[in-house]
Amino acid sequence: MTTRPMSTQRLVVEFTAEEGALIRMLGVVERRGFIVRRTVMAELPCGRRATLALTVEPRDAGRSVEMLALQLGRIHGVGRVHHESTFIRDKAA
Amino acid sequence: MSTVVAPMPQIVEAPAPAPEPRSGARLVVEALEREGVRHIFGYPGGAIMPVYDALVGSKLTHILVRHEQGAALAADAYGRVTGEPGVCLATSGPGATNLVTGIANAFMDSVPMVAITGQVGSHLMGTDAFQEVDIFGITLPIVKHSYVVRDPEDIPRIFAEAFALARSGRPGPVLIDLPKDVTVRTAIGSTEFALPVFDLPEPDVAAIARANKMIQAARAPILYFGGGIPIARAEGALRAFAQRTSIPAVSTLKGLGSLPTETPNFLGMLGMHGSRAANTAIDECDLLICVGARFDDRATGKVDTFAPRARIIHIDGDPAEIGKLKRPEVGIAGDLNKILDGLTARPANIKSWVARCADYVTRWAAPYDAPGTGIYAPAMLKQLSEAAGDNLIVTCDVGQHQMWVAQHCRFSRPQAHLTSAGLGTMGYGIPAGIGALLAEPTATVVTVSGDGSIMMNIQELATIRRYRLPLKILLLDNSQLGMVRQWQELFFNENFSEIDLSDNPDFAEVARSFGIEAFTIDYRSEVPGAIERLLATEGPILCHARIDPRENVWPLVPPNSSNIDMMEKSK
Repeated sequence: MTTRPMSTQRLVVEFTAEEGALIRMLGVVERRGFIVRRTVMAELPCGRRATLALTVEPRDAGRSVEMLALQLGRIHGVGRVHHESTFIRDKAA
Repeated sequence: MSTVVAPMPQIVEAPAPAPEPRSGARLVVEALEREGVRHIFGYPGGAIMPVYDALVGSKLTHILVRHEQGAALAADAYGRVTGEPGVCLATSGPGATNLVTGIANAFMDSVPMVAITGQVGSHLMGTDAFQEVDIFGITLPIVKHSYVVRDPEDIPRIFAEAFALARSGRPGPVLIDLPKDVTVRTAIGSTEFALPVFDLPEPDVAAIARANKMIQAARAPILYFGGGIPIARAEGALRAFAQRTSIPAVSTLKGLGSLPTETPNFLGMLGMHGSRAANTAIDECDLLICVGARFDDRATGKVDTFAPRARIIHIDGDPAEIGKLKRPEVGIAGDLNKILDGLTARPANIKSWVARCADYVTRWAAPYDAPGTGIYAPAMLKQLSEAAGDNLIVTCDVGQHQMWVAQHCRFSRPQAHLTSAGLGTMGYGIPAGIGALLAEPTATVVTVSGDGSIMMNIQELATIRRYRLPLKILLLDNSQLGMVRQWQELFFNENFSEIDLSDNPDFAEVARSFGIEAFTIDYRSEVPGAIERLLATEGPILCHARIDPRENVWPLVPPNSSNIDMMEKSK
């Protein structure tokens, strides 16, 4: 058993919950070189707005979560994208 | 005596008649007419038949292609030339999937497009019905946005939004999938709706000030521009900036024409098949001003060693491009016109640098005196573009001829060079020629193709014939997949694999069978006459030019190498 560091980052996306919105965002995350580790979606009380909290892990060191946030931000229907960095020491099986 | 003033007759406007419910298909046509669409490229089929029914008698001119890929690629070129979304139309299933390459092409090159697909009826969606395919899902990674219309009442709003999205900011393709029942059902289709605002960000004034200081301090600056210039219609601002600063400039494949080829201090295209002058100047510069380009790997070579001595200013309409591949010291997002106009500083003293760059251009100018009597494609392309003049639009296919066009043709405006840059779509040339001619009927449109590429959409010769489009086609035939052969020669130990096309048909005969004038040439001495005939012929014409199959495109930056390590000949 080995211990390896795994850097994950958390993004919170505010978006309009219209057809295809979720797979559009998840597709961008994966295509831009990140693994989706966790998702939590919540509908906001006003209209069709919702939030998606994403915990993502870059596939290599060249992937920037700040750039991913900008790429998510240009999806039509996405409002704000917040991100915060976390560092988790995890045990690999 | 009294004066009687006759009362003015009261004009009472009759109340506008309440709109009558119309079919969804009719609402589609009205929405397209409201957007000012004149041409639609398409191919009918089952699920889209209600829309084709409504097209009859409309103000829209439908161009019947012979394969849906031709429709999407023609719409792409139409969008590039006009700056307005090109529109393509196909049925569900295979009709929709045949659009996919053209949609991806538009996405990669940021071209405004609206692609409309028929879909099976709503109640059949998700049941694996005949000609059902999830085109919404298939195209998610290659569209700017997409819609499945669920209610005909939404058609006016969705179409207006789709067009606004396609043309705004960084343009791109938008897909609208129309289930058949939605086009048959009736609705009022209210046009009372608010559209989202798609403004570009306002440029950061402080960042512009920092950029001005960097420009003023530079001793060896380079202006590196790309496809963002034609997208923003910013060639005027670019030319003014280049003129007032005298900064030597290089272009990406998509930026060509933004500065006229003969502009002083223009060093040509950079990158894998760029000029030695451009790549050397980038290597030596101390300031790189990147405008509307994205540090694409074909332009930068090994990105870590690209412009190794330079501070970088990156200017783009899309904030998500800034810092994506190369971190700039100053990044500015927004309207390129405004930003370029705000860069008012001039470098203090770059005379010796400008002279050095000019020396590079002279020293490494492309030779046009190849030995032998055969047709030398670079020389023929140079002569053709010079003979055609400023009215020229070249549409390219993909391969060696595409690079020769970029290296050797003269361009005086960005819309003069239509090429599949990001996706590299073989088969782009002829459909793009169709789109360009319909967008700008007075232009001299020349498609330059290869014997591999032309076969990918050769059926569109029928479209050219049907609409009597005066497209001039120059087919450079080396009976091989030339670029693949070149790479196998240089990087795969001459292990030639599946590149032989020596069993090609007689292309002149093929063109004639479509009703298109055609002729074949083999010798350099025939080139002047061929160019004259191509340009003088009123209708469509194909010149089949057989060239040396061993010819390579030079210079070439080997894969995973720095741009400065260019090859000029085979080892």
